[in-house]
Amino acid sequence: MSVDTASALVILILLFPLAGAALNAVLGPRLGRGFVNLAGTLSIGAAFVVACVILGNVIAAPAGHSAVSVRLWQWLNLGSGNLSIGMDFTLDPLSALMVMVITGVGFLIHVYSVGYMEHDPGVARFFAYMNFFIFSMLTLVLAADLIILIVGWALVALSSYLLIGFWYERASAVLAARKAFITQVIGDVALVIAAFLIFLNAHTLSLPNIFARTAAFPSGGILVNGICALLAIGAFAKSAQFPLHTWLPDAMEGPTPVSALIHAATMVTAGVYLIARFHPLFNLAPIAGGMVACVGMGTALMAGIIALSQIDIKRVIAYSTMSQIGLMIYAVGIGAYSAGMFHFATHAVFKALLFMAAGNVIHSLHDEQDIRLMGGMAARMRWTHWAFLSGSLALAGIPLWAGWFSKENLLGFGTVAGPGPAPWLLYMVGVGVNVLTGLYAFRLWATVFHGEPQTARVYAAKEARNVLLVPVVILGVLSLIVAWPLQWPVPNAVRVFSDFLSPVFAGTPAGLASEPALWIAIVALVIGTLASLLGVGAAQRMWLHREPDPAAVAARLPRALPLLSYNKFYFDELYDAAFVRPVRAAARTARRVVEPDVFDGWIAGLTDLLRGFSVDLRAYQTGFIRDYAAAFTVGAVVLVVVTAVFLSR
Amino acid sequence: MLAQAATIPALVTPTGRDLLGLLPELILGAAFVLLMALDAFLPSTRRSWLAVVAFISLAAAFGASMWGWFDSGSGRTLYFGAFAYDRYSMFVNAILLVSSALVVIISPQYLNRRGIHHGEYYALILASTTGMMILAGAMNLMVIFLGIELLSISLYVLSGFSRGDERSQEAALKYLLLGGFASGFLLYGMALVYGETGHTQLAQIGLALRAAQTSSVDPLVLVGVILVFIGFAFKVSAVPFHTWTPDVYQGAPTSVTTFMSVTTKVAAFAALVRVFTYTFPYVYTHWQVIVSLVAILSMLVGNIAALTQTSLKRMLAYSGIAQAGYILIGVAVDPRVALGTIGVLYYLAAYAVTNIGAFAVITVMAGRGEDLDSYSGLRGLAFRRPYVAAAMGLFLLSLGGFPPTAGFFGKFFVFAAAIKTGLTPLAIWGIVTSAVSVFYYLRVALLMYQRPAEDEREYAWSRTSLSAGIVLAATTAGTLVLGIFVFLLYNAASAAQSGLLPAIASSSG
Repeated sequence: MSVDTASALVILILLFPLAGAALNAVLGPRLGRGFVNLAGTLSIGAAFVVACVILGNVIAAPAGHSAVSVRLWQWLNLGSGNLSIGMDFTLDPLSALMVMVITGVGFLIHVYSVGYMEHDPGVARFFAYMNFFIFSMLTLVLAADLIILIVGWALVALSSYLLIGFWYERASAVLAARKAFITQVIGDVALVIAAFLIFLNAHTLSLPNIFARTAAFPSGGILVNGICALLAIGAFAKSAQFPLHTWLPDAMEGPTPVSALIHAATMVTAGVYLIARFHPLFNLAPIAGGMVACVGMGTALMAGIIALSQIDIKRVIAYSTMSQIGLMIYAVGIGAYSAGMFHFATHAVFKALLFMAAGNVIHSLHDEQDIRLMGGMAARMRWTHWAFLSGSLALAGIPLWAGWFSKENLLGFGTVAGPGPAPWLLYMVGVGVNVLTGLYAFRLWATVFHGEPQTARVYAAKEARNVLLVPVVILGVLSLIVAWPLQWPVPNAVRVFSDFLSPVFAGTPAGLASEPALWIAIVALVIGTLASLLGVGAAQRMWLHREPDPAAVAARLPRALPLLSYNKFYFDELYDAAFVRPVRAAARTARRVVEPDVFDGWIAGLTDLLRGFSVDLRAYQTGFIRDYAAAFTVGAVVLVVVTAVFLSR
Repeated sequence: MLAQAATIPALVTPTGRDLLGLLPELILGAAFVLLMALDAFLPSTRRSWLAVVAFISLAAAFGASMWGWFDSGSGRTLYFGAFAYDRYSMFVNAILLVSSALVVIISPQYLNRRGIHHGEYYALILASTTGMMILAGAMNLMVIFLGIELLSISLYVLSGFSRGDERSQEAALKYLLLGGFASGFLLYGMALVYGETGHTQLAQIGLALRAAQTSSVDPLVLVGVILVFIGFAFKVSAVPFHTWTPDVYQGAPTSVTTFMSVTTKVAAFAALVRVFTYTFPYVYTHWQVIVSLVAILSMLVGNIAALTQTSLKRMLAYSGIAQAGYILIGVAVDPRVALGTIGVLYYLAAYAVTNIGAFAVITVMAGRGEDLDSYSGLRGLAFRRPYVAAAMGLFLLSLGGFPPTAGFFGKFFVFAAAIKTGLTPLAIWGIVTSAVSVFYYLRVALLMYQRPAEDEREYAWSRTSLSAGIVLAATTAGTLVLGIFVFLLYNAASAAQSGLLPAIASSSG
């Protein structure tokens, strides 16, 4: 594709959501709901059309020319070798995949939002934020300059903040929004420091130039490992990975479409994208890569355990998101970049589906989110139930559903690649995560949709209307079939997806991303599938048939385990004790002791000084011309004397 | 060392090419005469037509300037070297003409409401703008003086335009007396420079200074240079020659303050750069300290004094003094570094669009018969006029230098130029003082978003008229465009700098 075509496509795909946001913000409140719904959804629909054209162009590009970088304009240039920031964007297979998912899934979620936010008075604000989020996310994934990427990175955090706190009259929503934002900022700082280090060594912030100058980063050295670790911290904050994961469950305070779009399908996977985008550096940093893999798998395990005992329907799905993103982070950590991206793509489909189906349930029960008060919904919400089931099968990794293809593909790499002396160890954990996934996915399904209705509300529940149902059903079908033509977990079978991305990750050394031999892959596939089936089967027995009763099983476990799970490993309490309380206490002490005695003195002194100076200056502003002329003359004489005496030597 | 008298050219009439190069000035001059004549015939209810005529003539002059920008024959002098026909003056013309046009658009409504809608207003605005354009293109000490006097005398009258208002009268008188005082310094400095070099043409003065560079520099030349600088420093309201600024800005009608706070500064800085950076580069080491000193004082006094103001116009006056200090940084850098001049040009454009926007808010929101001047008058504006308040907030952020607004890049470029030429302390001083400035800018922004107390009277803001909407939209867009599409203006400023006359110092990188 020519540079002109690429520029036009980039401008269009960014302009549509931005225009939608502006229209909704400025005209929305005046023109009313119909206009808002139309502008909000059509802008993303148009962006999706552009995304399809981008994808077509990238596929049609001749071999070796699949990546096109365009410079829309130069933002800042201080000469060669100095700071130079361009409005640069890249169209390549990786960004094409991202924009397809963002706009495609995003469009369905926007349509769903029309129904979900039907009675909310702030719908114009909602769609303005949502469109703005899509714009920010597209900026992030298309950016070919690190500064522009950081701008997008910060803007998605801002949109996320605004949308979590959308119902700002609820204190819990405001607190959750604040928590998410503060955690994001920790990651932002790490990312910015990484950018500084990159600039100091490569003297450029343009991504293609950075990746062309990897010689500036000695392989395996402390520098490149440090940069990658900082990038990874940024990724962890964005993708809710340990230890920066606690904000994601709280973020469920936002409206459900927000959870589907931002906290499942797109923004939280930006960390995976970041590591995949910076793979030329991660390839040189095995220590940082190993750290990433361990954190990812550890988070996957931890979140899976927590998801087993949560009682809020959205929080269960949130923890499952955290767990699945952990698997993706693990994949990009061990160098299986395209496997990680593939799981991202299928996960976006089935996780958005699960959230939206859960939203339908919540809606029909008048904002009830406690699964202990549900049960028996299958008979009342037939279509939603089938769609939810399809999503759960995909999530659990049952053969032929999309999640099976991507998760087994991902774990297959784990058998041969991984950090440290025993890469097998993490793979075994991954198998355990498979069991857990089946367990929590079908615990949720069985508790919500089967068994006896627990409250009177359930009896009154009705199936959702079409605008809420159609996107869910579309995604339900996609959860089954989307992976079939793309990628199979057995080597040398269907591999359209990894071939598509291979130009991006071409430079990855063989030791990192080598595929397992056919027989290992098949054995791994069987083991993984059996683990998933085991989890699903056990869940069926325990929560559908109550034999054994899950409470009895929990009683037989060591007492600590259910407690840890239910209390989310006490991370909130830990952070509260380790950071929040000490900081508060320090602040109080400072307020009581340090400030009055130590600082107030000289700060007040300084402000008094400035104010006094300011007042003094006013005193000179007498209003009398003679004084002004005198000041003028004195100033002039001083300047002339200074010149004549001191400077004319 | 009086130079031998140059051969005086035979008395010749200017050529048609000379006249064509002066087209923007000629258009405004003709429009000035036309407006005076029209005013005599128009009934007093039709005064707004004068604004239309003035706007059309400003637009025509703008078109002529653009033609001069793209004319391949530009980059030469007119009238035997007395006037520059280069991209630099066209660039400055463009800022001046756009600023004047914006002022003309908001004026009728304001003047009507104040009851001072007299016909000569527009003629005086045009005369003053003509003087500024002459100043921007002047290549001869006498032409510089001519330009300064033309712009000043018109402004003296405009400051006192509210005839029934004592403060306006006082402002006019102060400005007149102190302006005359400053003109004396300027003229005396010019006389010394002429006496020492034997020339009034800038190009010749520059050559003479270069020739004298090998021997020691005569202190009298330096005193002349400094006195000329003082004359300019008065016009840009730099400390300690700023004392008139708050009184005059506050006393003059707000639309006049809008006009002069921006255009005077632009024109005077344009001439200052042409004279100092491009005519006096060979005595740079001598005047650099003086310019830096005045810059430091301006940043300090302007920002500190603004802290405790309670009048919007006075606050913006002190802010303008501080901004003059920042722009002076760009003058103080080594003349061999182009970024200094580019930074000055960028800053001037950014300052013009932002400051006109801020003053325009005060102008168009003013109620009947009284100016909107006290801080309390803005309290709660955001709830009644959300778009106006948002625009004002943007202007205040831009004045404070926040990205991505125009003001950020104005500061960025002059600070970068200072750091590039080893004047890092000056840049640090600028950053520290602009941190102070954020206090008084954001204080005003905060007021707009506070609800007035129950018992407090809300100011009776006027309705946002179409003309006000146009000006606020244009300045808002300009503030954002200069902060996001930086290259547009940067490239133009760079082109303006590269063709700057006199080209004495241009050989050095």
